This record gives sequence, structure tokens and C-alpha cells, in this order.
Amino acid sequence: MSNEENSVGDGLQPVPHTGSPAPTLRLRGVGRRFGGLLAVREVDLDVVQGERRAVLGPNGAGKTTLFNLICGDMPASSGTIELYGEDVTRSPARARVKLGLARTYQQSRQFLGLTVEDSIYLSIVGVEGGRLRPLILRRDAQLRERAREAAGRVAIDHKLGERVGDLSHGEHRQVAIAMALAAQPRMLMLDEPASGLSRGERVLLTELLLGLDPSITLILIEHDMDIALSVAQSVTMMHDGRVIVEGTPDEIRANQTVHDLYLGRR
Amino acid sequence: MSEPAAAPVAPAPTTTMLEIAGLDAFYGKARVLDDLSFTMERGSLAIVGRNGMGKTTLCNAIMGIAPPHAEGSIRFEGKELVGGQSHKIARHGIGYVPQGRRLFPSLTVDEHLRIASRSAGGASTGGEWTRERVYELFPRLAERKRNGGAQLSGGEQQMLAIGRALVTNPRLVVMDEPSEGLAPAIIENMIETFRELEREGLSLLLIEQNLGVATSLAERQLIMVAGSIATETTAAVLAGDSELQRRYLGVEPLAH
Repeated sequence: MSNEENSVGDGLQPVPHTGSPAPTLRLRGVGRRFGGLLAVREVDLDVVQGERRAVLGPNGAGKTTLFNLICGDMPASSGTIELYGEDVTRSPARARVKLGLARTYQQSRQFLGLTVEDSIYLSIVGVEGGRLRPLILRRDAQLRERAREAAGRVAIDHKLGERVGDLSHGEHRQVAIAMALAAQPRMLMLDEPASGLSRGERVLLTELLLGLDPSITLILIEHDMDIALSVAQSVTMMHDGRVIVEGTPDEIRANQTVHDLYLGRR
Repeated sequence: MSEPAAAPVAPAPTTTMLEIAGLDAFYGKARVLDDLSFTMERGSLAIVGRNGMGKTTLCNAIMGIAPPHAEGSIRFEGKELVGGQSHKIARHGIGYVPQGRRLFPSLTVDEHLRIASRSAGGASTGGEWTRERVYELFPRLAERKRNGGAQLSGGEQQMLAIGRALVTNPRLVVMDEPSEGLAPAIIENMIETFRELEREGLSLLLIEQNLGVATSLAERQLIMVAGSIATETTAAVLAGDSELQRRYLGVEPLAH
């Protein structure tokens, strides 16, 4: 809905301006094949700047694969993917990160030997480092502060000095979200952020997502419907690799197909 | 039942499933479990708590799995488990659904289930769980029978991890967040199945962050804080008491 906003983070990203209200993310006919299995088929998707979009679907519907295609973790077998007006279908993941994309994974992919603070700090440096190497040292204290602040937002700041390898599974997930936030993305993609979190940690996550800078685009895979449907403005429901329903949270709640395939009787 | 008569005294016919007393566990110097004790009768028991309180370490200690150096006592149907090897512990009749699934990327769904049912050995009773029954519980897995572990989605991996524990026909299943990554309709299905299994005599030790799952599967709820059991309550009380939830499952610093 909102117009394009280029005031990202410290204004560091030399972002290509399209000058048009083109979607932040635009997929056309995107598919992915694993041998004989079509994990994602013919997906069209438009997400505008600042939108909160939930991607729902039964297990094995292709949600995470779709995330992998958008992020460039694996190439699409067919179709095109545009990010901020740029065709990134063949671009590597790091190029998409430079455009302002950050994501989390279902399973932890962190360096177990690093402390929590260093992990989050490196996720900032990783994004800004290439461009800003000479500035890094001067800004080090500031980036450290930003890392600690991100840890606080997911309530993992009491473990800043601990090795990631010594943390519990749920804590890994908190660190992953902090790492994604600290990178100050324009588009944040979270793959089941609430799983592994306690009730209270989920409340905090919900508050965090509801309070997210409105210019940040959020795409969320989440099976906790309390979170998904309170945070999302729009919902894409996948089944067997396809998008089968799109709508507002209310429309999704009232949709019989969604109940049959996904929500169950509730 | 089929154990050789190692103990001079025959185990008393008791309904006590699990008896944990004074359990400490350490990762290096860090104490993760601190004088933890509880007794579990046949039936179901849920352990809830914030992240990092030691819940997974407790499961690993019961199963005799790696790092933690554990001291104290864990008795399963009267048999001491501390110091035992994990494959032997499993053969006593305990199934484990670990967090993070721990599957073999190159084995297919069907191979995982075949190997698990074979490795269970003769100790299990009943012997009612078959691969077919697992496929009935999770029809999605039947569709993925010949796919390798690495080709499964997160939720499918979770279904397989549960199925793998069930085909060993355990008397006790230790489940570390079984609902993680599962779609709502599948969770509903799983809850129904486990209730049925409970009626058939299976005991469940359940670690869950999803309070809905924890409170629908177990009447007894133990709340874990900093490596020990802080308090015990019931499903109805925990589900309805937001102050209790905030106090023990919230993110504010815990007041002791």
C-alpha cells in the first residue's frame, strides 16, 4: 500500500530506484523441480513495500522451497523473480541480501563457536562489510550496540556472552531472528519464527512483528495462527506447490478449503 | 520382561514409570540440571518452561545421549538408566522424539521406519505399531515413502521422527516438542492419536512450548526453571492462569 520508501537503515544501500509503485517482490510462473517432484509450481506473487504477508499451507506444500527461491538459496527451475524492480532470477543469494533481503531458517545455521553478540554483530558486518570496510572499525562500537539492541528485542540479551553452541534450540531461533533484524533489512522473511519459542517468547515475538518499522516488508511462514493472522494483512495459502487461496486474514479464517486442508476443525 | 535376571530382587509390580532423583547434569562446568527430581506414574506428564531451562538436557539425560555429564538417579520401571548406553536404554522400551528431528539425509522415509522397527529388539511389548499404522497417522508420509530425509520439508521430518519412535513400540515415549513445525490440522490429528495411545497404555513424557498441545495431552504439568522443577500444576490451571503463564513462561526476569 505505502509508496516506496528508500530510507533504509542509515541510508547505506545504493538501491536502484524504479520510481514506480512496482511490487517490492514479484514472482511470475515460478517453479522448482526436485527430480520428479514439483515442489513449487507456477507461482505468481506480488508483495508491495511494507506489506505483512503470511504464507500458510500444509506440511510439504512448498513454503520453505518458495522462500529458498526468493532468497536465491536455490535457483528456480522456471519463471522470473523480481526484487525491487530488478530481475534477480539468476542472481546469487548475496546479491539479494545487498538489495535488503534478510531471512531466517527453520533449522539453525549458526557458527556454534561464536558468542551470541558476535554472531549478531557479524550479521551486520556481513551485510555492510563489503561496502563499508573502512568505516567498520570506526563504527564498531555503534554496530556492537546495534547487535545488543537486536538481542534485546527478542529477549536473548541475557546470553550475549555465551557461545551459540551452548544455547538451546529455542534460543538459537531467537538469535536467528536477532541476526536478521540487526541487518536492518528492507524485506524480512521469517520461516516459522515462533516454533521453539515459549508462550511468553511468542507474545514478545508478536509484539515485535506488530511494532516493526512499517517500511519493512515482512513475509512470514508460521503455523501458529494466533501470530500469523494477527500480524499479516494478507495471506497466501499454498498446497502441493501451488498458490490456491489468497486473501485477508478474515477471508482465510472463513475459507472452507483452508479449513479442510490446513486448519482442521478449529 | 525378557531381561535376564540381573537383579536379585524381582522388580515390584508398580505403576511408577519414571523416577528421577537428585539429577544434576553439566556441560563442562555449566550446571544445566540442578538437583532435579520428579516421579511419573503410568500416563502422561508435560514439562513446560522457557527456553534454556534445561528441558532438552533432561530428555538427553534420560536417553543417555552425549554431552551432559549426569549424576543422580533416573529409574525407568525400576531400572537405573544413569550411566547406561542410549541404544540399551531405548531397548528397555523408551522411544525418543528428539528436537531437531535428527534424520538420515540419505535414507528414505520407509527405510527410516524399517530400521527403527528392527532395531527395537525384543524388549518391546504389544508390538502393535507397524509402518502401515504410521502411514495412517501421517498420510503425508505415505506419499513421501521413497523420498530421502533431505528431501522432506520440516514438518514432514517431524512426522517421521514421531513415527520412528512409535514403530519401536515403546511403553514410554519421550517427546521433545513434537508439534514443532506441524500444521494446525496435523497437530489436531496427532493429539487425538496420542490420546488414543494413552488409553491403550502408552505413557508420554512431553516437552512442549505449544501450551495447547501440552495441556490437551497431559493433566500433570511440571514447570521447569533453571534446571529444576519449580512447581507443579494441572492442565486446567495452567491453561487458565495467565499470571502463572507470565511468571514461568514469560520473558521477564524470573523472580525467585
